[in-house]
Amino acid sequence: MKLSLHQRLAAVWMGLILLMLTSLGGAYLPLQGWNVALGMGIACLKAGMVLWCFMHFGRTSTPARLALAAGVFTVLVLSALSALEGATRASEPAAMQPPRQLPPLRDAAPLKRSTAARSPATTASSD
Amino acid sequence: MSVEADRAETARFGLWIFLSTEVLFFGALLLAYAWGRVYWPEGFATASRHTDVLLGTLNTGLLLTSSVLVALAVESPAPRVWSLLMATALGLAFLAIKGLEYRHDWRDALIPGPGFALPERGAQLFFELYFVMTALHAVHLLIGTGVLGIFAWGSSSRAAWLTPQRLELAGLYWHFVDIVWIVLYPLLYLAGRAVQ
Repeated sequence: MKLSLHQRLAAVWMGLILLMLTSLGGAYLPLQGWNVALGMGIACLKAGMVLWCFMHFGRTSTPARLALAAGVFTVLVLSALSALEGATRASEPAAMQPPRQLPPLRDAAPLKRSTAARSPATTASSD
Repeated sequence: MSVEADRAETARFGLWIFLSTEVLFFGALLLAYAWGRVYWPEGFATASRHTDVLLGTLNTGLLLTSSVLVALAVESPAPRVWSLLMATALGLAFLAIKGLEYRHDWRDALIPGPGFALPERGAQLFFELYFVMTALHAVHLLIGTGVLGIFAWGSSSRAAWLTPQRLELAGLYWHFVDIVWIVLYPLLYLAGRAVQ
């Protein structure tokens, strides 16, 4: 049975919306941390449907396919190298130092306060 | 192969090369997300629960529908004005909803920086990536919406420059922007929703 253009696109649209709702529902299931894998699996399926049904990747020329494959391959290689570097490096993060606000000089005299407000850098540059 | 067909194939090839560079572009951001999720799984899960899943799902549905409309305009024997106009309207609706989401994030103090609402480690990094990825996607979508709008106008006025080949290239770009969102949706909106 040959589907018309409208029928084919409507079928793909329904498939995409159903998959979207499936990934939404699957995100709330207690899958012991496999929810992200399920969500990404469905996302790959949806992306493949768009790639094949709308972008006609299967019918595109070999150089165009190679161009996309080169991009994906490069991302995978660079990601693997980055993951390798991250996994084998000793992680010794520096202590977090949140920015601090000095307390205001409430009891200082006006003249003294203006002098104190001048930063050492400003003083040095003016000198 | 005729000169016209050769030219069309060259243009198509050029666009696929461009899309390949876009894969590299967004791939680096996805790697940063994966790195953060591995190091701070709790912070990322908590932060992800603070994104607006309803608006995110609505936006996903809008983009998927717009892609169908663009495919209809590209594959129809004659370019269809209404499908291009509808796709443009859906693109604008997506951007408006995204703006609404950003407004809610601002109200809930989810903008990274001083006074950030979530104390969990990694939560702030999640929202930094969330804003960078969604904003970059929105810029791409804005360009695509503009292109579709121009093509809708050209189609209604039967402009000579609007050739099926050019419409096909615009469609390829739009579908790619759709694919980027399809990947972002589970990472930003669905991760960490389940109560284990």
